Amino acid sequence: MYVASIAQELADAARDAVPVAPLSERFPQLTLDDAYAVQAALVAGWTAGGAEVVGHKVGLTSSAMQQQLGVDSPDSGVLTDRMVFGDGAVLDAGGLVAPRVEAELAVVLGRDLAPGASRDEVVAAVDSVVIALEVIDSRIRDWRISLLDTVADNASSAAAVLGWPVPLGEAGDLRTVGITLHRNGVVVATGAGAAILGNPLYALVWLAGQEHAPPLRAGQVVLLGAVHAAVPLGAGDVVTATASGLGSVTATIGGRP
Amino acid sequence: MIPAGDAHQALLAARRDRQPRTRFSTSDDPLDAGWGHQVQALDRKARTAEGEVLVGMKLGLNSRAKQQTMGVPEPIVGFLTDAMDLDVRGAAAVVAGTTQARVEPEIAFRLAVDLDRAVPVWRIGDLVDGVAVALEVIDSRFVGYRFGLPDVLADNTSAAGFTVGEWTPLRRVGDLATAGCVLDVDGAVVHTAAGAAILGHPLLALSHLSRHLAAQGEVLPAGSVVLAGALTDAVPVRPGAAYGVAVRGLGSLTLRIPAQV
Repeated sequence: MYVASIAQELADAARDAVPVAPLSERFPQLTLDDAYAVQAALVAGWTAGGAEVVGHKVGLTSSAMQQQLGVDSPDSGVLTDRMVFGDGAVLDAGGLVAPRVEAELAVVLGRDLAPGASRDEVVAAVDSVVIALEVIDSRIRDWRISLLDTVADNASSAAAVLGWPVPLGEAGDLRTVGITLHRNGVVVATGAGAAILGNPLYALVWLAGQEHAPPLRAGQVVLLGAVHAAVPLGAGDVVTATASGLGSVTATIGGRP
Repeated sequence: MIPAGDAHQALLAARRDRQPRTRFSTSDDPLDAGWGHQVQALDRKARTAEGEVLVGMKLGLNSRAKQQTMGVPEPIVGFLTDAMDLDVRGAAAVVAGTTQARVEPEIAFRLAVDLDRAVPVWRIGDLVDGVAVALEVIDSRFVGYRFGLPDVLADNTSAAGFTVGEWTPLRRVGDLATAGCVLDVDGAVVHTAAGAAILGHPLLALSHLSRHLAAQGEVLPAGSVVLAGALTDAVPVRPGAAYGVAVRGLGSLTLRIPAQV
């Protein structure tokens, strides 16, 4: 029914960087399952075009974000190889609508995770921890998103820039990993791992328990969520996230300021 | 302009009667920071004359956002006495004297030597005998925390109480700028931050204090405590609640507010 057409609309919006009106206003009957079906169709379109799924993102992991959207659980999206970059990446501002940046913790999986894995199995599947910058963007006009809008829009994801992995056992207690975000040399946000559901690994536990989630595979990266409110980003900006024990990662938004 | 002595008396009454008042500074009478420091000095003199002992200093407005709100380019400084020490006087006694108390997570430094001159940033670590996690209780004597810069300086930067955790030598702490800070209320995480929330690095607060003291011709003796400033937004104090703070490398600290205060 309308799942395919909404997915096409969002795919066009992302390709052309031209936002659309909120879905939840235009399709009041849309359910959360529908929204994840739209996301799956969107991703299927990308993989049909040659993109490869390389990971996942968990969003809405802070109580502040959940309150803002009136929800009490996280959401998730899919990362393809076209979206994930290494330290020092220059991202193209032209492809973005209204980008924001978040400093995040991410993990790399050391083994596959079957649906219904226990908390211990989920934690044991983590190979390493990575400091990451996530550039989020909304293909919904002016970020006027409800939960359903952002889920359909692949959890408002745009790009992830990853630092260098550190083995989980060497990263210490992830709850008190402090993270700073500098934009153009100035500290604009700080936070600690506990901002993510009380413990960042709970985001992975949540994702592993979701029926709608695509399979979690060894080697994939999972963004676990932001530790501060998202910061607006513009052409010419240089952003750096630094975390205790995890080093730092820098991204530049290409184009003229 | 309201004389500093009158403002001092008015603030004394506000604290004694637990009756917050309106701000002194207005658009017609903006006052200035020098006036605020004068009132604060009168308060300090009166308190020490009554037997309170100066045990340290505290910094406030250490984030760019707060400084912009107040229209100042740098942090502000207040003083701490033993009567504000929650472990000496007890949380119940301190909180009982407040009207709109809030809790903030902080990083505290203990001075290894007398702080008697402006110390350059790259030598500031030499002054530090220990670092600890801390909680500060603030309580503005102005209704709804609505004040200007001269008012909050006069009101000793809203100081009310503080408690400090175990001291750790600075060189064992690791990088304070990226040390994560978690504030919880009754076990639920409410705010997080990293040390860089304080001026980009908490030690810069101490460096600022050294310049401030040098400009005032003051000496802060070895052993004094310096609260470097809030790491996160403040949360309201509620009777019966427990406020926990953990900072990577510094351990944790809990402040329990008695149900009856």
